[in-house]
This record gives sequence, C-alpha cells and structure tokens, in this order.
Amino acid sequence: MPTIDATRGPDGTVAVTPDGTTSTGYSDAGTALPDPLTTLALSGDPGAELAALAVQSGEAEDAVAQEARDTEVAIEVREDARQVDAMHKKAGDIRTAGIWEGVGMAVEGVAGVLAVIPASNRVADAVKLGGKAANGGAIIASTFYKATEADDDALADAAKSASDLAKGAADDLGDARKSAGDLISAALDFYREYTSAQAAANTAALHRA
Amino acid sequence: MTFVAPARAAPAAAVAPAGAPAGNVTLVPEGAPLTSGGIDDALGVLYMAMAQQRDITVADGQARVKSAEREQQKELADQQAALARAQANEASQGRGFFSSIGHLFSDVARDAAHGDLSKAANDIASDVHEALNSPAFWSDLEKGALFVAKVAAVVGSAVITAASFGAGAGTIALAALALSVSGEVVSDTRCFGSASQYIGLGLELAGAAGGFVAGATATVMTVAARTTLDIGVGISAVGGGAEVVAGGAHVVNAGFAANVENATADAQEAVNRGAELERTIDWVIDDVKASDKMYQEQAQTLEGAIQAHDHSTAAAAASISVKG
Repeated sequence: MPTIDATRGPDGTVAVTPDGTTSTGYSDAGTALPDPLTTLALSGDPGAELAALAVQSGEAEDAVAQEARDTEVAIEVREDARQVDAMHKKAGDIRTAGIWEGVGMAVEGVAGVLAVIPASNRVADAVKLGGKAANGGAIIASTFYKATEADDDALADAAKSASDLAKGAADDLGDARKSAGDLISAALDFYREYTSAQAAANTAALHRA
Repeated sequence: MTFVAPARAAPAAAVAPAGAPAGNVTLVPEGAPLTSGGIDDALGVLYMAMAQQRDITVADGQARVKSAEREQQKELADQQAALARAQANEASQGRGFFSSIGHLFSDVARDAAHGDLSKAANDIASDVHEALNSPAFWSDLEKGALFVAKVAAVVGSAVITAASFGAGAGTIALAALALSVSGEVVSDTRCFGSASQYIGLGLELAGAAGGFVAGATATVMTVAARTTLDIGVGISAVGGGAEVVAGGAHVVNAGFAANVENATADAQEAVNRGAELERTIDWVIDDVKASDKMYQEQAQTLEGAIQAHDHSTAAAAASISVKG
C-alpha cells in the first residue's frame, strides 16, 4: 500500500504548502529525500502513479494559471495608473490653456488701456491692433493644449479599456485555477477509492490464504 | 483504528530551519519512533500536521482579508475626500460675486453698528479670503468683466466711429465697427460651431485693422469730433481694463477647473485601487475555500489509508493466528 513516504519524518515537514498544494522535486534546501508525490509517482503501483501524475498535472496547471493571472493583474494595475496619469496630464493642460487664454485677454485689455495714452490716433490704433494680435496668438497657443486635452482623454479611455480587458482575463484565469483544483480533487477521489478497493482485495486474499 | 498520535512520534525537525548550522542538520528522521510507534503513528502525525497546516492557511487568509479590508476603507475615505475636493472646485460652488460683496457689506455694517472695529477688520479679511477661494466668485467675475469689456468695446467703437464721421473717414470706421461687432456676435453665439472662435477672432482683427486705417486716413477733426473721439477712447479703455480683469479671472477659473480634474483623477485612482482590493479579498476567500476543500479531501484519503492499513494488519494477524 504505497500511501505515505514515511522516510520524510512525522514531524510536520511534509511538503504541504500554505496554499494546499504539495511541493515537487528536490528544491527545498533542507530536503534530501523526494517529496511524497514523486515517491508515489515512482512507486510502481499504477493507481498511485496515475493519481500522482494527475495531482502533479493539476498543480502545474494551477501554477501556470496563477502566474498568468498575476501578469494580467500587473497589466491592469499599470493601465489603471496610465489612466490616472492621463487625467492628471489633462488637468495640467486645462491649466496651461487657461493661462494662455487669460494672458491673451489681459494683454489685449492692457493694450486697450494703453491706447488712451498716445496723442496720435494712429499709434493708439496700432497698440489696439497689437493687443488683438497678441490675443489671437494666445488663443492659437491655447488651442494646442486643448487638442492635447483631447489626446489625454483618448489615452485615458484606451488605458481604461486595456485595464478592463486585463481584469476580464484575470477573472478567467481564476476560473482556470478552479479547474486545476477540480482536477486535483478528482485525482484524490480516485486514489481514495483505489486504495479502498485494493485494501479490500488484499484482505480477501489474506482470508483466503 | 489508531488515530492521531501526538508529539510523541514527532521528533525534532528533520529539516533544519534556514540559517541553522550545518552540523546540526538531520536530513532523515530518527528511525526509532517510526519503528517503535509503527506506520500508524506516522500517518497520524501526518494527519495532525495537515490539520495544523489547514488552520495556518485559514488564519493567514483571515489576516490577508483583514489587511485588505483596512486598506479598502482607507481607499474609500480617499475617494470621498477627492470627490469632495472636486465638488468644492466646481464653478457653482461658494458665494458668487454679488453674494460675496453683499456678505462683506453686511458683516461690516453689522460690526460697525456694534462699534466693533477689530471684528469688522477680521470679517473683512475672512470674507475677502472666502471670496478669493470661491469658484463661483471668480466665475461671476469673469463673466461680468467680459460682458463689461464687450459692451465697452462696442460702445467705444461706436463713439469713435461717430467722431470719425467728422474727420472724413466715417465709411471705413463704420465698416471696422461692423466687423468688430460681428466678431463679438460670432464668438458669443458660436453660430459657426467649433470654428466660431477663429472666425470671430478674424473679424475682430479685421475690425481693428479697419479702425487703424480709418484713423490713418482721417483728416483734421473739429473740436467736437475730437472730444467725442476722446470719450470713445475712454470707454474703450474701460473695456480694456475689464478685459484685464476677465483675463486674470479666466486664469484663476482654469486653475479651479484643473483642480476638479486632478481631484477626479485622484478619486478614479482610489476607485481603481478599491476595486483591486475587493477582488483580492474575493480571491483570497476563494483560495482559502479551495485549499480547505483540498485539505478535507487529503484528510479523507489519509483516513482511508489508515483504515486500509489497520484492516490489512488485522487480517494478517488473524491469518497468522488461524494458521498457527
């Protein structure tokens, strides 16, 4: 009955990790002996080997799904940060566009006030015209920042979409982890039934002998 | 059936903890407890270790959930603070221009009636501070100043045009006035859609250029025309002053609008973080559930193994005694 690798010691050093899986191979620095799953897989008992392989497969599937989910979560976090950055940049563009527009208006206004000073109408009109032209230039400059605001909005929307996609993928990978868990459960169920049947057969054989 | 064997069969750790001296490391368990206690003891201890591991997993999950919940509460508070900040910077928030002035006069009048001049000074300072930090005040100031500036520009131009008739450049001045007014109307009504701003600006520039040409071509003016012209220029100067005020208020209002956007971004950041934490909590709970289920199944499998071993041992013993 190849159930437990007793050589591992009964002191709690069995390869059961906090996430409910068992460790594989010889990776633990202080473990010189193979873990129970490996022992089971090499035991020569076909039922045990099948169960061990199924458990290992489930563990591998779970590890892959976990890693992929972590990647998707990282993408989601990154895209969320990009969305927020774009919104902050838009705030900066709103402020800059407002400054250009305000300064343009102020310059035109100052020109309107200064136009009172010259005795010559020609000079006064020239000052006014200069003020208008300055305001026009400022409006054109502010238009650049308003266009950038639109770009920021588009960037934020794109980042939000990418974040939603990553979130959906992460949720799907959560389902994949559940599938991996189901596979391990099925393997354990199988092994439980297998050992029961085998024990019954052994008992019958002993009685017969 | 032999069940959980306590620590009797559990010798010191077979695996040395990290950093322990190599000389003290025992890589395999001592043989004596296993051989003397039998395999059932090993299975029992394994069962117990699994139960302990299960408790640790649940406790770890609980700690992670509690930590995430605490962080989630903080993010919620941040979100509410950011939304409050966004609302406080909206153009409609705070006292408007006339309301602020009315409030200021009301406070000063009340304090003066009570003869409390120091309180009046304090009220003036606080009311001015409140007004300067009120988005509605600056919004009203910009709108009012722009209105004054436009009216003054139109009226000033009309008066200058009237004066120019006396100087022989009336037709050009009238055309310039028409262009300027058209520019203002187009800018205000936005009748050309998004291009209205540029069309309006172009018309105003053409009007200003026309005024310049009219001034340049004007011949000698009469005293009355000269006086009228000065009045027109004075009105235009008032309009210029109002435009300066409107420009300054526009800069301040843009600052408030940027603050709203920044606060909205902060709120969005808190929302995103809160959603991530909420999902983390869901996943931790799912993981603990799945892990617990697996422990149960592993325990059942182990129980089966113990029972099967006991049956086999009993059957073997019975067989030996029958044969013997």
